[in-house]
Amino acid sequence: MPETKVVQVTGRGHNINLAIDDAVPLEEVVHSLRSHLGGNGSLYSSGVISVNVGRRMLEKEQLTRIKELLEKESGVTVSSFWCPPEVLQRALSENVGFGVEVALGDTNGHAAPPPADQREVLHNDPAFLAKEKTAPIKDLPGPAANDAGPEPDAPPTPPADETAESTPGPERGGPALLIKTSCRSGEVITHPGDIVVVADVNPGAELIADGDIIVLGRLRGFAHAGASGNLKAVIVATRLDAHRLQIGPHTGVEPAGQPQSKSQPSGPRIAFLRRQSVFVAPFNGRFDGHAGGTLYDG
Amino acid sequence: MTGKTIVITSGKGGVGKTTTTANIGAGLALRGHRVVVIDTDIGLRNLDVVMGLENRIVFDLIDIIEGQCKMHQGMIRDRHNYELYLIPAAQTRDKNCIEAEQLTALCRSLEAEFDYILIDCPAGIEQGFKNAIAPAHEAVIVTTPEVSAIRDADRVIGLLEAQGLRRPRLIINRYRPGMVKRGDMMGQDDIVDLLAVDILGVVPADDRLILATNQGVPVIHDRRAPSGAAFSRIAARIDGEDVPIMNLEPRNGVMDKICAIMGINRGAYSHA
Repeated sequence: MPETKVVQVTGRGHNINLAIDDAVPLEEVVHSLRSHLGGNGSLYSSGVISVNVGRRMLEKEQLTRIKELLEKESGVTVSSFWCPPEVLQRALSENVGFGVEVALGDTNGHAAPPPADQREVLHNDPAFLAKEKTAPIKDLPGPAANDAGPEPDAPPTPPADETAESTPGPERGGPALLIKTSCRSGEVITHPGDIVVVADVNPGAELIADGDIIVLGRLRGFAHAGASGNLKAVIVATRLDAHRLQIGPHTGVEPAGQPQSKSQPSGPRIAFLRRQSVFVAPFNGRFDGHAGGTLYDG
Repeated sequence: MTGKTIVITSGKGGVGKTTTTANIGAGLALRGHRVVVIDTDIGLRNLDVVMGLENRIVFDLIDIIEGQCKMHQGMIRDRHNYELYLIPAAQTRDKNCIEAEQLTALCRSLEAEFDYILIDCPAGIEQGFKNAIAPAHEAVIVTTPEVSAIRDADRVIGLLEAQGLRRPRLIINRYRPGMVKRGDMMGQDDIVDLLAVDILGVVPADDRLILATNQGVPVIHDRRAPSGAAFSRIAARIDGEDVPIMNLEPRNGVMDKICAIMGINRGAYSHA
């Protein structure tokens, strides 16, 4: 088993994990990856994988290059790139975008500040966020996704690696996006996992998540959970004052004529789907098995 | 001397950006600073009218930027006896006639001579807004206690933060404490809570302000106007002085009622 310092292969069953050293320059990674795949090309015949880029800030061309390398040298299809949410957060907050290899101190990155309205672009273009910010798109890194996804036809990794650790614990879902500042009017935040906002979501802001949406604050903007079709997704807010919610394809509109937040209890509430309609009920600490609630008619 | 450039913006139109700019400019000048106010609302110029300088305009911002006059020729000195200058907007051009870089360069050269450069931003979030906020070190948001104005302020704060103008400060204009008390208007705490920014001041709704604006004299010169007093305090806060923010409350204690019966005017508001 060729095990270089840079690329380490671990795996069990159908789950294969290529761990790549975060601190090594990209050129070296590409080189090691090529030699590894070249030597073991027959091991990886087909399948779909997702690539975690770790703490690296990669340019678009670099991502394309890795994708091409993997697909050419092995036979797998790269469906998505993803990275830990804190990297995404940092990229957003520092406006470094994907243009700079910050961790490596790459001197050919953009030393100058990024274009003035980059943050605006990041927020306002969901496609941009989803693709270029390298958050998981389809295949979450959890085992659930891995079992179904990668390399069903490929033989398992060599026996030497059977002892190695597999991917993290079960049924925990993918990385969530944590937002600590107010989501203001006009901001659109799209994330392929869960979104947690530890602030207010003001009217005119939009949150679109493939998973659940949790707001520890006042939710008054538009929230769309389960955007990729997950009907089990829920929206929880300590103050759920949104006029319009969406879960999967189903839209819910706050019933008219309700004097807002005067008659109803002011505690945390949860929005969920029942019989293809959005219901809102007081949140009792559970994410499933709801009863009752107010119908938010589409 | 290195001056500070402050943009006064709101998103929504008609909330009092121009009046605020004129009054803060006058307030800072009264405190002994050299101040220049720039009207960037090209095509819809107002600041000259509010300051009562409309018939002195010879050159304007575009003339300065395009080099058709010297910088000092385009600056109009205020009628009052202090160091306050106005650079008026061009009325016959539009917002696309200047570039953000040109305005930034102008402000940088003004900063060498002046303590404060105040930029009166046009309404909206288009090119004019982007030009106006480009040179700014700090931003002041003006809003009124109306949901529409607050929504726009929220959007603008988001855009300012994206531009790197962290911690913009908020002025709430046309505040009516009586209505707030009756629950008919959003209170200042609610607004600050929603927008999650620092508050710079609260200006009460005031007929004297409308009168002063129509006369072309900033209301800050009117000693009896509660709004003028509020602007004085705002200018002091911008100047770095620690003036506490007071809660505006209508006077309706026992003494106030007695005074009201006796016809003694103690002013409508205890403090602003």
